[in-house]
Amino acid sequence: MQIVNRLFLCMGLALLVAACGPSDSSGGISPAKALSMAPADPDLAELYQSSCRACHATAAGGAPRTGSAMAWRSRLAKGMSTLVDHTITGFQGMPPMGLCSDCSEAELRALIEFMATPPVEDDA
Amino acid sequence: MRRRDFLAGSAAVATLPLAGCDDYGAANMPRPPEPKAGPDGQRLLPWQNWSGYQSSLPSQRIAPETETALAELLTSTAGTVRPVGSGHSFTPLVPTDDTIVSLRHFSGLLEHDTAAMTAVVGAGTKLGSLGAPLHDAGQALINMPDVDAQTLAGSMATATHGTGAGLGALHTAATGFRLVTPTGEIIDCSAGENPDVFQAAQVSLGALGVITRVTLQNVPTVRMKRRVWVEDFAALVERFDTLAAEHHSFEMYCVPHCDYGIGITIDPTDDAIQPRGPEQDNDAVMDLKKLRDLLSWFPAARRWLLNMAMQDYEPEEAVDVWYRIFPSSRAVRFNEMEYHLPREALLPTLLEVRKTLEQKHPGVFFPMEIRLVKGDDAWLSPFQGHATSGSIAVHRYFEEDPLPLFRDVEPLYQPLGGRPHWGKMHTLGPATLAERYPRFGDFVALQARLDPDGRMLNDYLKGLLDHA
Repeated sequence: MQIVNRLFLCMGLALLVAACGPSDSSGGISPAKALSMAPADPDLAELYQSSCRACHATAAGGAPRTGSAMAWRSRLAKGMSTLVDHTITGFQGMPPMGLCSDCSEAELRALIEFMATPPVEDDA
Repeated sequence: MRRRDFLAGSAAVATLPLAGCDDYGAANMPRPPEPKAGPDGQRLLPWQNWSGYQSSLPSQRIAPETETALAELLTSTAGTVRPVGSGHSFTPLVPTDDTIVSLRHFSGLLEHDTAAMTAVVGAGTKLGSLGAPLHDAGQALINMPDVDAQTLAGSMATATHGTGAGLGALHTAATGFRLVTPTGEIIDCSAGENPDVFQAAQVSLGALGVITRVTLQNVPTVRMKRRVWVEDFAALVERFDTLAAEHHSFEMYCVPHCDYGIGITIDPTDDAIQPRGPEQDNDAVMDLKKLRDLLSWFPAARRWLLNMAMQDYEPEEAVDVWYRIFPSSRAVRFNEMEYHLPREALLPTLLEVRKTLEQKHPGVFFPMEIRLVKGDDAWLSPFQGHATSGSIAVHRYFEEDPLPLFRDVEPLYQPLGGRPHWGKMHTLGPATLAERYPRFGDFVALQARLDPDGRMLNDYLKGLLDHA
């Protein structure tokens, strides 16, 4: 329901709103492809399925979409340790630990690396 | 717009930078514990709930793979043990600096009976992962909440619910549980087997032990039609009872500082599939925040703009399999208070809550949610003894202090004997709870019998159950 954005456009405030908007969180990969991706490691795939996929495969609420190099570029630029810290304590829409109560730091790092890596056919 | 409002707004323009500096109590928000190294030299990771409001620094995070391993853990580990689901409760049910237990390995559809329309499900299954396998087995949950991130065990432990005058909360679909107690016993319970344990386990606060599997009484899988529309708020309140009676599921959202409300109905249908499409609620909530941020100094303009935006909103319709219709993405984090009231008190109280929220807390932009839940007889069910309960939920953005709002709203529910959602913020203690729950004392006694050393009780639960 983009109710208020419509009004902002009418009121000439669109630039203000655009300046506050989230960065592109879904570019460079089709939604269907993102939904089909899963880590090769079965244990990691289980964690991804139960904790990350619901938001990151659909880019819900501005979450960087799985496999989207465009969406992850600005996040990766902050450094992996910052991304892991944000994942542990939560950051904006990202809930603490990504809802994985028993994930280790190494598993969180591996999940981020998986989500930030485009599928092979999109590398060309 | 009246000239007086325009002049007031013009004068207030000068205060815009100041309005932009209001952090809405962000400085008061609790912070997670500072990291520290564990015995193995690795840093201990804090546990936090979904909103980040509740936290602790558990020394152990364990995900046992079998009931035997879980029983051994419960009998061999020192200190407090708390089961953890998705962390979607806003009350401090989980925090402990000792051990938290994940049910990640107790997950999925374990077995089902097509004739009886029952299913045995791992208690750690997230609601969002349950729909597809149940549908493939020809079954559907009787109802679902609008958030599906919770585990089955966590949602039942807190009496999580959807909406519908004839639809009970999730725990009412449970016909049996398997419970691993703190003394290492593995107990099956149902209406016919350990019935007192069953009635307590339906809504258990995770205080009786760790539930590993749930037997669900389901219904045949079904296609549902969801309709969302905007309507004059007063007219929607006037039609509330009719809409609730006519529809399988009905809920209403009240948008603060706006003269329009939002109605949502869900009904069984044979219509062709018409998927819901991309979720836009999260963007809409953030739009409401932007409007608050820009115009909190000019309430009349804020209301006028919201009314203009809402009045020509085109109704939305979607048709799909049940589990793709009920839940919505809730990616904008918040803290929440929800009370369940006698049905007849719902609408008059809603008007009081709305007035209080708008007059005393103009910074609130999250819509209020108004729902109905069929009553039941579980010992700690907030719907116990009601034919139908009416529920009012207020929310505050996760970075803003929720307590001033909740302190002003909560007293409105007390003369009505309101019962809080167990997973949502409230201040009631054991004396009041004992007055409002006829079987509260029975629950406390059973908890002490199953957990004689109080291993399942963190500080919050000790206070709540008067075991301090």
